[in-house]
Amino acid sequence: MMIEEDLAEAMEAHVADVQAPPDLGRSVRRRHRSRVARFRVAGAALATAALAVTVPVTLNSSEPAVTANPASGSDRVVVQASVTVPDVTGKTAAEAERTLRDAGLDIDYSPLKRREGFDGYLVRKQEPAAGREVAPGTRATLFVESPATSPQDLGDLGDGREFGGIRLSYLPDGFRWGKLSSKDQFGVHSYSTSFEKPSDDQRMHYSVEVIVYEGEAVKKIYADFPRKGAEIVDVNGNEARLANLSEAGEVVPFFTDKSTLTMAWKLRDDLAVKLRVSPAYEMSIGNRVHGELKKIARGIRAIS
Amino acid sequence: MTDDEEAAFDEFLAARSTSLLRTAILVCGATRHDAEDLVQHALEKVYRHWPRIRGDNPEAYARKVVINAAISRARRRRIVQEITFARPPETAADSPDLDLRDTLMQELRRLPPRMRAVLVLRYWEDQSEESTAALLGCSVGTVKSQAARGLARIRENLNLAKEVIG
Repeated sequence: MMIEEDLAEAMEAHVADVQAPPDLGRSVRRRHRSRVARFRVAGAALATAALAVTVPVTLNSSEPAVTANPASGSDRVVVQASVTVPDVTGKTAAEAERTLRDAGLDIDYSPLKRREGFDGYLVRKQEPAAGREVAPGTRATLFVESPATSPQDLGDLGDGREFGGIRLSYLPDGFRWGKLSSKDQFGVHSYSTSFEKPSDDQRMHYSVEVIVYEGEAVKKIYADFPRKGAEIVDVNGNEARLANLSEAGEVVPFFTDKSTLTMAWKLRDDLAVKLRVSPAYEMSIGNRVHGELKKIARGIRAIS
Repeated sequence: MTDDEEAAFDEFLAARSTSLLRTAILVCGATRHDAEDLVQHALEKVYRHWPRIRGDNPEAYARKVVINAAISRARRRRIVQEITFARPPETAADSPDLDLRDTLMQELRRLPPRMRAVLVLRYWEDQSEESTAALLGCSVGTVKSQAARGLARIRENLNLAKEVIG
């Protein structure tokens, strides 16, 4: 069979049982009323619970707490029974797995488990979130990162302001280093990390990403960044491009959906920097975003 | 919004939200929970502009918002792997193609988000190259090349997996 057909079948099977929750309309309206303060849907745990038929063998009472389990000993999902989801973010996959087992979440490995070195991957995010009350046997998902994209890439950067041969002297109030960093993701040699502004929106994983291009990699800085249409900005005597870029690397109007506010310039022939702003941050500060971006840019100096 | 507009929005949701949710799950390569959140967010946008767009193909608008949000989220998450615990019983059925499906879905998730979106739109939604290009805001040429490269990459990794296992 052609791979297209296999793939189509696999996709079909993957989502065949997915149905939009019946309270979607209500959720959308509620979200509309509180657009800025986004909330996390509470229905998801129930939706996943409905999928899990068997209950795990043990409900370990040591940690975390089993909050209510009037139907102990049952081998079916009992809606009243619930367990508190433990926090496994930051743990290795192996540790997370043990903790989740203890919590009463049954485990069935995906083929990924067989990958070498997998146990050492770090959990970046978990679902359902820690602290949630869910039915035993609820499908829990971990998002793990291979060590290649884990913080060890550039090591502990402290406040994150100094890396890849540059230093950031200005960051907007409340920004802190996002701890994730990568090396050579944008060509050899390139370094990147991000800063985030903690907010009530847990999904805002970064606010501003900083990418440093060094040596040969500098040639790539404008690969997906046309000059035409971009605002040309002076950054300490160097010409910088500032534009909203679409996925396809085209300049699109500011605040367009599906685009990323980006600024790039060369500090030297062998050193360049690109800044990318997350749409969530852009939306949270509105028109002030351009001013802040330029201030960050002008505060960046080469230190090597 | 008027009561009439509210009712029309509810009708739209009833007819299209499951399909949008499925697309979001496939394109962002994440869990249903993530996808639901994303679809809600996208539909809030649709709701915000509903009086203006309801007469002008709101589905295309919603689909565009969902797809682009899914791509953005997948891009920004920087999550390279996903493990699912307690796979639901449906997928554990004794189908001979189960392993292949699992592997294909994993390979699909490993593709860059935009490439994945092209494959989802072309082969799962069965959209034409032209509509795919319109939905993604790119050229037909890009759709063609992304689809070809995506399939090639999956095929290559499948062969590699066979060698390792076999």
